[in-house]
Amino acid sequence: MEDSIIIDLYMKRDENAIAQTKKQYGKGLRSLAFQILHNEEDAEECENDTYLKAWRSIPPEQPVYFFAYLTKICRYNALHMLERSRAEKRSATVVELSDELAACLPDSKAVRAMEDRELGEMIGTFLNTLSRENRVIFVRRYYLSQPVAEIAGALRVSESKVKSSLFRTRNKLKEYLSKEGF
Amino acid sequence: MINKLYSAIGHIDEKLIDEAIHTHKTKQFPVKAVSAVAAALAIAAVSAAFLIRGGGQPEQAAAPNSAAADTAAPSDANEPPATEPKTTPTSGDEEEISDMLGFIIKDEKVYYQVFYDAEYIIDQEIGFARDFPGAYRDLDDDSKVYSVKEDERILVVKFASGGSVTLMQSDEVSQDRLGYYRFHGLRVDRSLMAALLSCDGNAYAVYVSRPDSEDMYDYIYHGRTLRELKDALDASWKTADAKNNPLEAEYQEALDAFLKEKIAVICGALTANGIDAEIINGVRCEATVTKEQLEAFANTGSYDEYAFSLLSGNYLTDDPEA
Repeated sequence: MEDSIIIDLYMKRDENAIAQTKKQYGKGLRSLAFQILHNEEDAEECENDTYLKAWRSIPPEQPVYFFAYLTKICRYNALHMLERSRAEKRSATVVELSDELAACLPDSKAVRAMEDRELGEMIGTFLNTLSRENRVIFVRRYYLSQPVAEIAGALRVSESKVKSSLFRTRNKLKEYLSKEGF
Repeated sequence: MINKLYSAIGHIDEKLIDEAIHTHKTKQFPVKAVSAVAAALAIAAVSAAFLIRGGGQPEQAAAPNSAAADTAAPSDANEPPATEPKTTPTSGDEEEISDMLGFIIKDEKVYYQVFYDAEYIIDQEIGFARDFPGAYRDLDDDSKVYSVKEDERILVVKFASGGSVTLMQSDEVSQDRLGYYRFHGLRVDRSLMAALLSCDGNAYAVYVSRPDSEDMYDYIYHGRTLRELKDALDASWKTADAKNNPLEAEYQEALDAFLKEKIAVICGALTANGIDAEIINGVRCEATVTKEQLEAFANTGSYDEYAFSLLSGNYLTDDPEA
């Protein structure tokens, strides 16, 4: 079913909207949640919570990129669950990705005080300066939390190419943030 | 504990997320010539004995080194063609650099260029870079290779020009005692293809079967797709006996059937195009090709995933596993 038709169901408050969303994107959302949480039950809870939040936010929201919108909710839910249960250290993915990004941004008071939204917009501006391939690799790795092998497989490139792309992009991001005063 | 950037990236524009989600398997390769073999093989989604695919940006796709076009017999020791050594990962066009990584082969192992920012302490001088098969073979200066104290899998090449690169042993490629190059992995990308062609001696690519293609899950076995069988198997682990799960046996049967079918298609395509090929143990196709055939195949640029082993010389008369 087309995204526009599913969104229309939300707008009409037709509960079939959730069933169709699950059918279309359930697997992808569950996979994203599991990558972060590494727990089947938690991932399922996160997925269901995503549908609930989508139901509550559409309308007035009318996302243009529906799955991307859902992943935002799902990712936020998953990270929030981790923080709530103080399980950050038990999520191998979060630890690994956090470690990779740690060198890009100093852990200063200014950084900690900054709103995630503002920093996210800055990252978005930076990403738009990259080539498409490097940008996609970065987003798949740090937003979708995909393993390097999965990214390499999806883009039909070698794992070493993915790693070198990530390495260079992190360095460029560090430089960019430094110029922005961090 | 959660890095601020990792958290903040959740707020990037949805258009960027959408782009990342939908950018997959859309790489275009320059089509110089589509041979019947390449076209037939492109049809077969692969997870069989040999796998070669094109990688890298099409606009910067480097043709395999031209030395093979000199038509020397594969068993002759030829001088490898000139390859541009990449001195630092930050110089030059980054897309080109990432598409043609530096490498050397030492003691039957391949060491690939990596971009780790770790500082290594030089241990011992191994030799001149020009003395090793690989990307630096044509250097005529005093660029040297060194081992490091921290990790025996790491080598450092220090160029006479002042630059240096870090190389890491790859588990994916090795050279056996007969001088054949083996690749044990999922894919051989364009840079590795070019690297194999530039090496002395016989070259072939071998790939250990590891099903990883999305297409294969549409394969139907006894009325059910591989995807359905896999999903059922995954769900069964919650209650099934780990050592004796009948669904696992059924799934494996289906996988084997898929492999055999694909291998038969591939072998038939090779044979139809005059390449001597045979099926080994039902799950591996081996073919004898010359270096020129390998280069011609690489030059088509239009191949997607396919499976066959490329051998040269007298491989079939010797046991490569010995």
